[in-house]
Amino acid sequence: MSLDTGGKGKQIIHAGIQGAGCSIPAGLEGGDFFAFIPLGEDQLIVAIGDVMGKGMRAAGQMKELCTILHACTSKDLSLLEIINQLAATGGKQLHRAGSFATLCLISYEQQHNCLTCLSAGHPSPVIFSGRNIHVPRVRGVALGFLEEYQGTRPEQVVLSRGDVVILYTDGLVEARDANGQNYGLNRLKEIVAANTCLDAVELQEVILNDLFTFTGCRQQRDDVTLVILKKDRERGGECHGDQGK
Amino acid sequence: MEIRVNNEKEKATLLVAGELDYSNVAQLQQEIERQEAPLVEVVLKDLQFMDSSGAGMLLSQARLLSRQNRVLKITHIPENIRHDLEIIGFFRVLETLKGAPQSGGE
Repeated sequence: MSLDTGGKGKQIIHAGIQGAGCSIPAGLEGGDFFAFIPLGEDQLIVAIGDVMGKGMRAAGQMKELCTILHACTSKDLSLLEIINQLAATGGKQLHRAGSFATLCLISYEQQHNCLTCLSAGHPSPVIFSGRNIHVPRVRGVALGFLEEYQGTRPEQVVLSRGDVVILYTDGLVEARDANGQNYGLNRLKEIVAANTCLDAVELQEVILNDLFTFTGCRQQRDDVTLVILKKDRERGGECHGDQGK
Repeated sequence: MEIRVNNEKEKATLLVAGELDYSNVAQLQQEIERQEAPLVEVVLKDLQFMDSSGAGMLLSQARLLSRQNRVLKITHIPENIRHDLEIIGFFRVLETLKGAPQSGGE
């Protein structure tokens, strides 16, 4: 298990996926988080999220949510069941505190090369496959807003060798340069599309270098979190079955 | 952030300009709480940026006013901010408030 709650990067190789992630808080502590959670030998759960606000309060809520997430993933539940449990427990805590959190959950099953994703108020992942760029249409209400999860059903995508999946928080695409211009999703897509031949760690470095070049390393107003998944092995199969199991 | 307030008999209009974030969200919250009109409209036409703290506060205030049988209306939302609010499900939550049973004033 690998969990990042600070400014450090984390890497993983599991179920034929190479993963790299990093979180750069705007202040000493941030509310962004990401997690790589291997399940057995064949499945990898990836989560990225953003808790409202900044500082110690947001960081504390983020850690509580991560604890609940890890407890849910240990119960052999589908993605939809996990997000429902998170909404019923972590979401309720956030609601009581007048807060909320966005969350994007991904499950990858190596046996079927199948990636399943769900979102609770978080930007959808971006999938680069050859020359195609696909953004799954997964939408949902952020955790803490409502008593239960409301959103689209999970979307499934079959990954091919070399496909790249990008997950990010809004702090990345809303990072600003000296003129107040946003880095933007289009620039992120362009830099990734031009570098899909790289492995996940190298690609992360290229994106961050491009971001820092754009911002001039200026202090940003929001945390920046980026997770890259790259499918590095082929093992056949088609996408079917339950959501995220 | 700059807030201008226009008070009419049944409606208070708050025109918000600049950037609404963690550092100044309490300022707008206090201004909304100060209003007594049954309808409070927050006009975001000149807002350039809003972070998650701003979105969370506006929803909390919308809930609070709804419980008092009053309405918080958020209008003229710039496209970039509307896009972010759509992603987090902001408008879906506002819709649930419209359909919520009113429990009477507090």
